[in-house]
Amino acid sequence: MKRIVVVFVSYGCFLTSIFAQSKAIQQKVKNQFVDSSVAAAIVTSGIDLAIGELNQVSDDVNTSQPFVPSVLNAGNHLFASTAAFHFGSRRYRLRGYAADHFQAFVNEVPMINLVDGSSPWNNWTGLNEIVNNSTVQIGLSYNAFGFGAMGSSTYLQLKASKLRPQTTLSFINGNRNYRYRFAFTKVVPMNKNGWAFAGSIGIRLGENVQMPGSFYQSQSFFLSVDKKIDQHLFSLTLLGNSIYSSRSSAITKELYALAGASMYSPNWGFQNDQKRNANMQKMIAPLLFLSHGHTSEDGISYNNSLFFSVGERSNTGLDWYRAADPRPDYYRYLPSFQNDSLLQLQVNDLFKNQPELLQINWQQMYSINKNSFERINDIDGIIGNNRLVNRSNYILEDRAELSKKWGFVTRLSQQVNERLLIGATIHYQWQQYRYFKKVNDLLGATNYVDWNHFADAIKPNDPSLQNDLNRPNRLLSVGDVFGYDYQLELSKLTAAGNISCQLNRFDVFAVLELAEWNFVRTGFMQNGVFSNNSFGKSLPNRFSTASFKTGITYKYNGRNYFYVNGLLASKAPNANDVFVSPRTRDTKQTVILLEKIVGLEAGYILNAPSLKLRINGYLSSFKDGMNASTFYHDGYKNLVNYLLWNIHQLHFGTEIAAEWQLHNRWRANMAIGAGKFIYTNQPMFSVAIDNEDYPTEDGIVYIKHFPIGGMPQQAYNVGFTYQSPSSFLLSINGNYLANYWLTLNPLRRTYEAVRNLPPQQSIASVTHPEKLPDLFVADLTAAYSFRVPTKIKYAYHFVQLFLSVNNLLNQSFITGGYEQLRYDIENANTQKFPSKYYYLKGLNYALSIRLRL
Amino acid sequence: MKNKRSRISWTLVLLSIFLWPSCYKNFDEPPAYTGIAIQANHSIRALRMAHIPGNFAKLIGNQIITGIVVANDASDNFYKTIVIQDSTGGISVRLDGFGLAADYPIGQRLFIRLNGLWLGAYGGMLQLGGGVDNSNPSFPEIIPIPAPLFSKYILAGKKEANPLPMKIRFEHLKDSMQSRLVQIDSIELVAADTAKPFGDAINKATVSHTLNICNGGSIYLRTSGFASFASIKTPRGNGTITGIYTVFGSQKQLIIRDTSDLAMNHLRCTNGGPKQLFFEDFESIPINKEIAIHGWKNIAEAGGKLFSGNMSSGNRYAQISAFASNQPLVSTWLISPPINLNNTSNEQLSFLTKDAFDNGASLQVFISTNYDGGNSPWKAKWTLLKTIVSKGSINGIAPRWIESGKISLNGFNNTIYIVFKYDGNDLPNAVHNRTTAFQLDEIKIMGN
Repeated sequence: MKRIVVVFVSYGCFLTSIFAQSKAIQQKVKNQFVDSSVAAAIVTSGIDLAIGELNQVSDDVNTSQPFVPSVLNAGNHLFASTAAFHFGSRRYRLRGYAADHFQAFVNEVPMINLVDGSSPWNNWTGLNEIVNNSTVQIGLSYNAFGFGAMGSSTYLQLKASKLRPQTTLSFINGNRNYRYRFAFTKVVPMNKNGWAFAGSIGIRLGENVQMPGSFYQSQSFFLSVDKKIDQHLFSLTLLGNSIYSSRSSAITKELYALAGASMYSPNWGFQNDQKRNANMQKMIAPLLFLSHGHTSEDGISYNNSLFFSVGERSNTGLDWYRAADPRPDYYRYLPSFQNDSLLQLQVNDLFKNQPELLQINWQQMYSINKNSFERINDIDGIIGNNRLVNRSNYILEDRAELSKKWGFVTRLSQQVNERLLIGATIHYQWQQYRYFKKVNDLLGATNYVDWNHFADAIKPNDPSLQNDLNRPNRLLSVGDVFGYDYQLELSKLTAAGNISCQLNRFDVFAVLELAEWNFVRTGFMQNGVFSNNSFGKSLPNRFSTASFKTGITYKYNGRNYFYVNGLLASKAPNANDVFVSPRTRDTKQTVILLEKIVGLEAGYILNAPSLKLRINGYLSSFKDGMNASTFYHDGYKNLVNYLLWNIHQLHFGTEIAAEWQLHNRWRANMAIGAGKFIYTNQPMFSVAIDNEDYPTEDGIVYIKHFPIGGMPQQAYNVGFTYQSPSSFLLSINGNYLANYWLTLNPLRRTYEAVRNLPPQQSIASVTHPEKLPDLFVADLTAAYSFRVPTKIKYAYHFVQLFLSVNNLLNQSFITGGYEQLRYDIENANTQKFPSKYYYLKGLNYALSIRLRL
Repeated sequence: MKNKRSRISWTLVLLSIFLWPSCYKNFDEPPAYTGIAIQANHSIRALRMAHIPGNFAKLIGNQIITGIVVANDASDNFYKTIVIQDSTGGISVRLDGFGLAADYPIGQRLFIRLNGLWLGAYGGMLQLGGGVDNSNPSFPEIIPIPAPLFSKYILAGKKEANPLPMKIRFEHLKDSMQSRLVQIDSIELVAADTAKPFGDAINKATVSHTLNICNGGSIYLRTSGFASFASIKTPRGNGTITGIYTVFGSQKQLIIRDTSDLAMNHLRCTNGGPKQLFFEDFESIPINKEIAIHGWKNIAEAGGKLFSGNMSSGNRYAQISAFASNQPLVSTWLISPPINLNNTSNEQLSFLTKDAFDNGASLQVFISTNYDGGNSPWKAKWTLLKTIVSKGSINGIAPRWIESGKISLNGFNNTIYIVFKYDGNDLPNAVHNRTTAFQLDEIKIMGN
C-alpha cells in the first residue's frame, strides 16, 4: 500500500517537475553542522538554547502531570520559540496535546518510551552546548526524517563532526532547580585523516534552592568519535546523565496558608540536623549509538543508526505497615479535618507555633521501629519457622525500574532531481522494563515482611496477605525486592515512506507510516489476591496502526507563504493503559481500541526584513483515547486503577507570532496562542481494584464539552528588545496566561459522585471544573558578549554573559495543579480531599557565563 | 602549544567520565530515644476522683499523669483508644489515629499533660479526650485527641517490661478498677457462648459473650468485629482470663488485647464439676463368653476371634488374643455404644490395659463421628487416638494396669463411637506370629 502511494505520488511529482520551468524558489538555510540531507535544518545560537534551558521552571518528571519539555530548540518557528521561552510559568503545551505527541529522536533513533509514550528528555539535559545541534519540526509540517510526532519532533544530531567546533567553559548560577552548573565542552572538527572528536561534561548542583529540603545533583557526559571513509561517515556516540534529585509535591491551599511565608514541601524533615527528603529520584540510562551515513553522487543518501541503552530509575518513598501515616500533609492531620472549632483552632495554632511539625519526623520513625517486635510465623513459608522479629513499621522503599533497550533506524532518501525528493524510513524499537519495589532503608529495625497491607486490612490472616505466594512471610533486608515485580517487554516496528517536491509555486509532501506494536507482561511474583493471573507471561498483545500526513505550501513569493497540512492516524494504546493493574496481574481492559486522530492546520508566513509574521490555525480530533490512573479510592478503601476509555477530544485554535524591527536597535515581538481543548463525548470509565478481586465496575463520565486541564488554553506575549551594536541585548516580555483548568478527577463526574449530594447543594458544585486565576508574568533577559585577546595575535577568547529573570514582579502564584483523584463519595464532599497546586514564590533568575577558548 | 592544551582538556574530559562522582546522600541513624526528663505530679486515681458523674470537664492546671500502656489497637479490638495505668488506677485515652500500637506499644511509659484535655464518661466509662461533642445535648461525647496534637499532650518515656495484670476477685470489680488490666481465675464462658466467634467479623459488629466465674458472678467478654481474632472460636474450658475492665452502664465487661489473654483449657466448673459421660468396667459380663453388652458391638473383621470376658482377683475385664486361632489375620473391633458430646465440653477418654506374652500384635483406639452402628464399621471414617497401651510383657502378664492417659476429645462433636481394634495372626508354621493378649478395663469418658 505504502509503496503504491509513494510510487504514484513520485510519478506525478516527477512529471510535473520535468515540465515545470527550472526556476524553483530555492530556500536553503546554510548550516554546516547539520546533516546536509535535512533541508529544513535550522541553526540557532547558543544563547537561544540557553534561554530554553534556563527558562524551564521545573524539569521535574514526577509530578502527577506528564512531563512536557520546553521545546529544546524551537528554531525559527516564532510561535514555538516564544511558547518555549515565555509560557513555562504555567506549563504551556503546544496545542494542548498530551506528552506522547512531543517526541525526541537522537541520531534519528526514536527515543520514546513504549510504555507511556514519553520521551526521556532527562538523558541529555545538562549537555546544553551539545544538544543545541537539533532540528525541531512543529505540527503537521514536512519532516525530512520521517513521519514525526503531532506536536513537535526534536531531532538531535549528536555526531562529533556535525557539532560546532569549540572549547567552552560554562558556568551558571541560578535559583531554580539547581544553584550551579559547570560544564566543559570540546569539539574538534574533522581533521585531514577523517577523524572528529567531541566531548562534554556538565555538573549541576543545588540544595534547598527554592524549596527547603530540595536537592539536585546531576552529572552528564557526552563522547563522540566520527570517522569519515570516502563518502561514508561512521559515528560512535555515548551520552548519559546521572540525576539524583528530590521530587516536588503539590500541596493544598490549606497547607500553603499554614506554612506561611516560606515555600513548603511536605517531603522532608530533619534527621540529626540534616534535611532528609523522603521523595528522591535516581536516574541513569546511558545511550550508545553507532551510526553510519552515506551520500552518493547520484543524490542517494543512507542513514543508519544502531542504539543500545541500559538504565535504572528509582523513586524513594515511605511505606508503612500497621502504623500511623508518616506524611505530615496527610489530610487527617490538618486543621480542616477537625469538626470541632476549638480543636481546629488548637491544631492550627500548633502548626503556626511549631512549623517543624509540618515536616517528616524521622526521629519518631526510628524510635518506633527500634521498639517494634513482632512474632512472625512460618517465615519464608517454612511451617514452624516462627521468630520474634524487629520488624519495621516504617521503611523507605525504592520504586525501581530497570530498562534495557535497543533499536535501529534506516533511512534512505533520494534527491531524484532538484525538485523531487523521496525517502523511506524503518524504525525498530525493543524495550524491556522491569518494575519492582526494593527496601532502601529499614529506618532502624532489622527486617520488614513482604505483606500486602491493603489486603491485610480487609481479610486478616488470609493468604491474600502475601505479595508473593511462592515465598510467603518473607523477611526483607535492605536491597530485597518486595511488593510487586513484573516486566513489560515491548517492541515497535515502523516503516514510513515520504515524498516531497518543490514546484514553482507549490511545495507538496506526503508521508505514510505503518507500525506494528507488540507487548507482553511477565510477572515474577504470585500475588496472594490474584494467584491465577499474576505470575508468568501474559498473552501477547499486538496492534497495527497506520498514519498518513500530507501538505501543500503555496509560495506567493519569497516572503509570503500559505500552507495547508493534514493528518489521519491511528495510535495504539499504551501498555500501562491496557493492563488494568500491571503491578498485580495481567488482566486486560475489556474494550481496547486504537485511537483515531484527524489533524488539520493551515496558515500564513510572512518573512519580510522588518516584519516576521506567522499565523496558524489548527484543528485536531482524537477519538477512542484511553487514559489510566492509579489512586486511593475512598469508597473501596483501596488503591484503584481508574481507566477512561472511548475519550473523544477536540483541540482547535490559532497561533499568531510576529516580530517587528522597529528601529535598528529596537525590536518588538508578540505572540497569541488562543486555543480551545475540550472533551467532546461522555467517555466510559472502568475501575479495577489493585488488591482486591472485585469485578471491574464500568460507567459513564459526564464530561462532554469540559475543558481539558493541565495547561493554559490561552497565552499572550508582548516583548521589546534593545540590541546595541556592541553585542549588548536587553529584552523584556510580558506574558498573560489564561484559561488554565485543573486536571479533572473523572470520579467527580459520574452518577455515583452526586448520588449522595445534600438536596440544597447543586450538582455543579461537584462537577464544575476548577479554573486557576489568569496570570501575568514579566520576564527579563539580558545578554552581553565581548572578546578577550589571547597571547596569539588576532586570536581572541569570547565571553558570553547571559541573564534570565523570571517573575520580575516578584509575585507568588500557582504554576499548575490538579483535582485530587481521591473523593469523598459518601458525603459528596469535594473539600475533604481538595485540589492540589504547585506554587512558585518570588523572582527567579539564572546567570550564565560562557568562555569560548 | 595548542596541541598541549588540547591534550590537557581531553584528559580532563576523560578523567571526569571515569571518575564519575556518584555520591548519594547518607544519613546517620538518629540516637536511640531514651525518654523524656519529666515528672508526673498527679496520680490516675486523683484524676478519676476529680470526675463528677454525668459531667464533662476541661482540665486546667499543670497536672501531669504517668502510666504504662496496657492496651492499644494492635489487634484492632480497641478502636482509637489506648489504656494506661499507674499503681493507683487506669484510664482510657481516646486518640483520633490509626496504628497507635506502633507509637504506644504495650509497656511504654507515657506522660500526659492534662492541661486542655477533657474528662468525661461514656456509659459510665471514664475517658480522657481532646474535646467534647455536644451536637446531641442529651448525649455529649468525648472527642478523641486529634492526631497532630498527640505530641502536645502525650510524651513518651522509656519502654518498660510488659505490665502484669492484677489478680482480682469478682466482688472487687468496682468502678475504681475501670481501665485496669485485671486477671480473673476459675472463669469460663456459658455453654451457649462456647465455640462461637469472638466478634462478628462479617458484619464488623461487636459481640458480647457471658463469662461465669466458678465462685459466682458473671461478666461480659466484649469483642469488636474489627478485631483481628474476631473470627476465632471461643474456648470451651475453664481457666484464667486477662483483660481491661470496662463498664457500660451497669454491665461489667472485659476486653482482651488478643487471644493470648485467655488460658482456658481446664475442666469446666459449672453443673457441679466434671461429669461422667460414659463408663464401662465389664463387671457384669460372664467369664469366658464373647462380650455381648447392650449397645456394644463385638465384630470380627477377619480371623473369627472376638473380645471375651475374663476375671482375675475378682475384677472382670475384656480380653482378646490371636493365639491358637490358626488364622493368617485376626482383626477384631470392639465398639462402644454411641456417646453424645453435644452437651459437654473438654471430654476426656481414659481406660486401662494389660498385655501378655507380647510378640507384636496391636490394640489401637479410634474414634468416629460417622459410623452408622452397623456390622461393617470399616466403612466409616475412624480417627486414631493417641493413647498409651500396655506392651512389652514378653514372658507373662503385665504386673499392673497401664493408664491410657487423658485423651482429649476436643474437636469432636455430636455422636461419637470409640473402637478398640485388635490386629494379630497365628499360623501353625509361621515364623512371625503376633499373638499378644490384651486385657481392657475401666473405659471412661469425662466431660463438662
